[in-house]
Amino acid sequence: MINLFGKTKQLELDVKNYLCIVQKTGLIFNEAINEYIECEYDDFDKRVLDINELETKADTIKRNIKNKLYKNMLIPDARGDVWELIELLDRLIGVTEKVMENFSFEHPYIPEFIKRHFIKLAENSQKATDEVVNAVSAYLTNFTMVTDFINKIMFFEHEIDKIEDLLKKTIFSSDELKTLSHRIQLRYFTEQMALVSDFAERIAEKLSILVIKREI
Amino acid sequence: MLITILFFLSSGLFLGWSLGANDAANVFGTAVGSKMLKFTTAAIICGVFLILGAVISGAGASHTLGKLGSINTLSGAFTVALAAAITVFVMTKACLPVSTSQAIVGAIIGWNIYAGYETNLNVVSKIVATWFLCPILAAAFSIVGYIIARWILHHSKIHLFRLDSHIRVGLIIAGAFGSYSLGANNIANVMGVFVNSSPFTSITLFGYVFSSTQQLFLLGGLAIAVGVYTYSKRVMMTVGSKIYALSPMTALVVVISSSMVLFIFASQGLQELFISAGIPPIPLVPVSSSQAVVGAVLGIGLVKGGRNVNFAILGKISIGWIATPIIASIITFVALFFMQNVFMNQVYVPPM
Repeated sequence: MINLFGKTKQLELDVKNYLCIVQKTGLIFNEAINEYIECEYDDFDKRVLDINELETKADTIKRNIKNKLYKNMLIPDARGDVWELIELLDRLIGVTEKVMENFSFEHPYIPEFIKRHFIKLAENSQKATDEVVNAVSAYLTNFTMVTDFINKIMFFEHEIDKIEDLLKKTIFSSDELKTLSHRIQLRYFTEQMALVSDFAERIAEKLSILVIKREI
Repeated sequence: MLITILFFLSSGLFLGWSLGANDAANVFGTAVGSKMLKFTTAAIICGVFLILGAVISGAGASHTLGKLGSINTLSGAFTVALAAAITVFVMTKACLPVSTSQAIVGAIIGWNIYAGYETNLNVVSKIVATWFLCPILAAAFSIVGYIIARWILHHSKIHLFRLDSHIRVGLIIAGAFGSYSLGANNIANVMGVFVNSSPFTSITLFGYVFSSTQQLFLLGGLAIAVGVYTYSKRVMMTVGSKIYALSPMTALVVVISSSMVLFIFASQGLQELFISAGIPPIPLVPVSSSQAVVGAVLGIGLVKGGRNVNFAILGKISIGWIATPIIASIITFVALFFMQNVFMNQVYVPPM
């Protein structure tokens, strides 16, 4: 029985560490996009390396969580739900990493008149990621608060959708952008950045179901 | 001689085996069905506590059955227990709700009629009242338990993983308590009819007098434990997963509530406490653990707003309250006739 409580505590710690990584990913993403927009490419590339390192660390913790959940038969009732959440969070980290790598590989030119939109996208993506971490923590410890965080995630996702639409309109209506390929590339990066909040929304939707299951 | 004794006790032992095979799921089904506990661990805990409950606290409910009808020959007791077992089998085959407790009461009444003994209607009314009270009391306990559990869950900010560990430990403790209560309450169904014709004599072991009734109950308890170990796994997986659909916390409330009901209807200590406090005592009567579970689940359904509550199940149970004793008494009457006139065994000592 003591063994059971010990393993439970270790699992709690692993999930906490995992959530810390998700939060850091959001912060790094925001900082990195700002640095890219400000043309500080060396700093940006360091951020890409940081996020790669975090992703590797997250994978190791994820494996530990999986082992503890399934090998040690911890939380048989909710382990499927917890594992699904971890998988979704993993995809959120993956998407964030991918977007940054694409910026690093393609080096899209961001004209001055749309820079603030990209900064806003990054800022709201970070806020959405933060709220995802808060919501998952609340699901584990204080589930009555989950709905409040879900509402915040939805709010930021909606904000990002609005910015995305506005940005696309601006990209295709502006005379400053001369080539279609450049317009298409910017549209692609706009959609890529919006993917982070789309994943945050998916996690929020999953949580809204899980929280009902936590009610007895 | 020993073979003859074992043969006559076999019907009771069979009842014990089937009780273990079926009713253990009511106390450990949740823990095993949800894979929170290994079946072997559950079966060992269940078996040990069932035997302890039967030997230590089994006398109360058995005494009430004795007041209903004191079967005074071993072959009579064998026939009564066999008739009860056949009733349970027939009704289960016919998909009718049945409880061993109600079958044994009907069988004893059948023996009273056959032997010409008067049935104490006062005792009958007490027993029937407990059948009615059993699911109601379980529902009341589960309503209170559910409200407390919900309050704790909403205010404790306990981590999901830690809550899960606590529930797992809770299910083991509640299962052990439930097994003890089940043994204490239901041993009367298994061995109660043999008490007055017990073939055993008292033994003194290390200064402790081990009465003939306790020896009978130990044997019955062992039969129940064998039933748990050999045949209850599948029932636990089926029933457990059905109950578990409620959520682990709710399932814990259900197990505790139904176990408390079984304990109340078996505990002589609690009865004495009630008498000394001037409260009308609760009669000690074997009740159905399955019906207690149904009552507890319905209670939770009610406190959740009454949606999805299948009230028809209560109607079905109440049909069983009437049909089971009647069918059991008819089968007993016929079986006693055959036992006496075909197999030439004395099934009763005539009243003076």
